[in-house]
Amino acid sequence: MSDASEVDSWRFLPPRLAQLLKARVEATPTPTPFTPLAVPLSAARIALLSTAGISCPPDPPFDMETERANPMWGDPSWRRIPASATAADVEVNHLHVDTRYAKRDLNVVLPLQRLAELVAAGEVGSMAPTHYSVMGFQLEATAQLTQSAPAIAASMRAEGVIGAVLAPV
Amino acid sequence: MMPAYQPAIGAPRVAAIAHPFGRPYGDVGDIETQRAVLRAALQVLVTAAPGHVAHLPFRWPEDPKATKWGPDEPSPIVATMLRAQRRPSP
Repeated sequence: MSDASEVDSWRFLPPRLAQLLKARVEATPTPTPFTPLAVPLSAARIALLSTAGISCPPDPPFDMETERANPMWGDPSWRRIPASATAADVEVNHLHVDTRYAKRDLNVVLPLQRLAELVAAGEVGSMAPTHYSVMGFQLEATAQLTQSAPAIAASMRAEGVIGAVLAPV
Repeated sequence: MMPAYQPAIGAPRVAAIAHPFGRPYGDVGDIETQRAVLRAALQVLVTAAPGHVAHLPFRWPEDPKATKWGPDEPSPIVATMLRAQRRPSP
């Protein structure tokens, strides 16, 4: 029986698409890696990560044309987003969600201004100089897992990041 | 937004939220909700046990069927599936 206080994963999906995606959930469970936060949040450097397909010109946008030609493929690369970025500084490319909201207010997917406010209030230790985006449509995620994810983690470590919040779109 | 995926992807901690795709932190210009969601997610980072799914209490004000989150043009994979459905059976 479902609990009304629990988030329904399929709430916003049409029934047929929900049924299709539920089949993917039934895949073999993956081990859960875990590292406790080493310092209090008020002393931690935090980075944000979004799957919205955000890029900052002159960096190239995420590749939508190849996906249009091959609908099973999604661009597995990653992009750096400076902490000062706003909607005026970025492109958002993702063919599976309405990107107009993020183009009007980047904080709906990557709340850099809200994180800066929590740092200013002393709730969070500091904001990483760099934040990150990938493009979340990955039916076959090997390249993202073996190339982009380690590169992002290395960049975070180099900037002294202690914790990260990843928000899927 | 889709906490059911936790066992399949092994996310270390999950802050589940009933917000639509494309606006996980809240609506355009809704500074208070965006800040509250980020604060709640950071608390999950601090307090959650390995693999724990915390169900955040935020509720989207619109009915799901009235909530626009998809692109105007179907995504390539959805367009492909729709074309396949329309094809007559042999």
